[in-house]
Amino acid sequence: MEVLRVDGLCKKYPEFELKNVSFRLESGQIMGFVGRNGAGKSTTIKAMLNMIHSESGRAEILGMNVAENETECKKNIGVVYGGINFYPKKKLSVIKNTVKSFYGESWDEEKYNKYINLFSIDDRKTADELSSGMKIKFLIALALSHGAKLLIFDEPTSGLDPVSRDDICRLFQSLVKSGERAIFFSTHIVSDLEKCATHITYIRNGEIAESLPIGEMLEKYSELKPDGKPSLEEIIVSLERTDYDDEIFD
Amino acid sequence: MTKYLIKKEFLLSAHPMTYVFMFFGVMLLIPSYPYYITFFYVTLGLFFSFMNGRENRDLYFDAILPVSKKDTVRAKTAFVWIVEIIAVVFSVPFALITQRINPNGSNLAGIEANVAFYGLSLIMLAVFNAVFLCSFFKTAYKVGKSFLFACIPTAVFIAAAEVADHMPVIGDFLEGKGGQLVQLPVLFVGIAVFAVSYFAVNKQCAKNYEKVDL
Repeated sequence: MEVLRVDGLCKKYPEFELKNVSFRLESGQIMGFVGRNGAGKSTTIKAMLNMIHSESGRAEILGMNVAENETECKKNIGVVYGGINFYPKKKLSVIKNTVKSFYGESWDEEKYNKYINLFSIDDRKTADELSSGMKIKFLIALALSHGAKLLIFDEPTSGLDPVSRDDICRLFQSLVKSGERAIFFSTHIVSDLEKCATHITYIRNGEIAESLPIGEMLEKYSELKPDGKPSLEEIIVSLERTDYDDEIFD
Repeated sequence: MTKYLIKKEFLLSAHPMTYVFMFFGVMLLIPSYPYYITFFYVTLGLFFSFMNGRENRDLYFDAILPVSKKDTVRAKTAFVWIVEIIAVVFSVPFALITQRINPNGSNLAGIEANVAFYGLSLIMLAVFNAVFLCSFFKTAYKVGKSFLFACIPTAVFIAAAEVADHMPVIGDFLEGKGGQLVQLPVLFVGIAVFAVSYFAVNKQCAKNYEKVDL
């Protein structure tokens, strides 16, 4: 089932432009949204969520246009915006109760308790008392408790140590295994994509350069290495590399 | 959804000083004091809450909840009006007490805590709210600038009202020398302005916020 569809999103800033961004994501898939800093990853996510106004194009979640059915669309998603960075001094249980009130009957308290126990989170603590990895897990627990079909993460693994990053990647794989959910996450840490993503959407200077299954991406750029097996990181770095003229610095 | 957002405003966004200033109606017991300041403190408390919300990325929290930008505006304007209504209602018993202990005409600083004072205070709060909220929702982050902009007409209003209180004819009316019943039209106008401005400000803020890119 198609969970997310982005068609021709355009947004113009004085110094940056998002150009005709399109891709789609089906349930059971994990899409890594990759690009270097400033490539337009966060802008795309904001445009998808109606947080900024795109000049043209549309985003659909579960077949509904986000701009027209914002509330209904957001009921079906869980957004993790760089960890929990709102109300860091309030108790997690207070944040949970606030979030819970917006979902009515679709909120499952049993599931919430199950997930916070699984993640070993004490919700009597404040967000500031959690590690970066735990903050992400708490927001995942909130999203799963209201039955989100699509989880959107903006840079979930940046700032995490390698063990926590691996933990989050493996958690992502478990979350989509049932085939009922899909994950869309932006990152500039390419090695994380290889660990867990099934699809990759690569953005460069505000334009989608590639959007395809990860295997096809590796195959497409196999000529980059003599043994025909370049890593994803090698592919992205070779596409983004800047060649400096040494004489400029003389 | 708006009712849950309003609850969120009181539970999360509201700064403790908003609650403290909400009960500053007790200041009406101070003899010879410019009583409009009592409600000016309430607006200061609201400024603290908006600042608190900004520092805690409140609007980003709203953006991931299943609510629209219009709901956010509705909740924040409702929060402002509710806080002010509570502050005004809470102050009434102290106004009645102060009239007993400081009879009409004994306030050397300005207006007595009488019926006309309440009508004019509601207009003052409506002026503050309109400028503060409309300015804030143009950017959704410039809280200080919006507060400063709102303080200017509020201060001018207070100054004009207190100057009028010292004028020969209008001063006698505002001081309640002809009784407080004749002041009732001022109270009714105040209530009407306060109520109508809620809807007008809500509409304008929704328009302003809709244009903002978070």
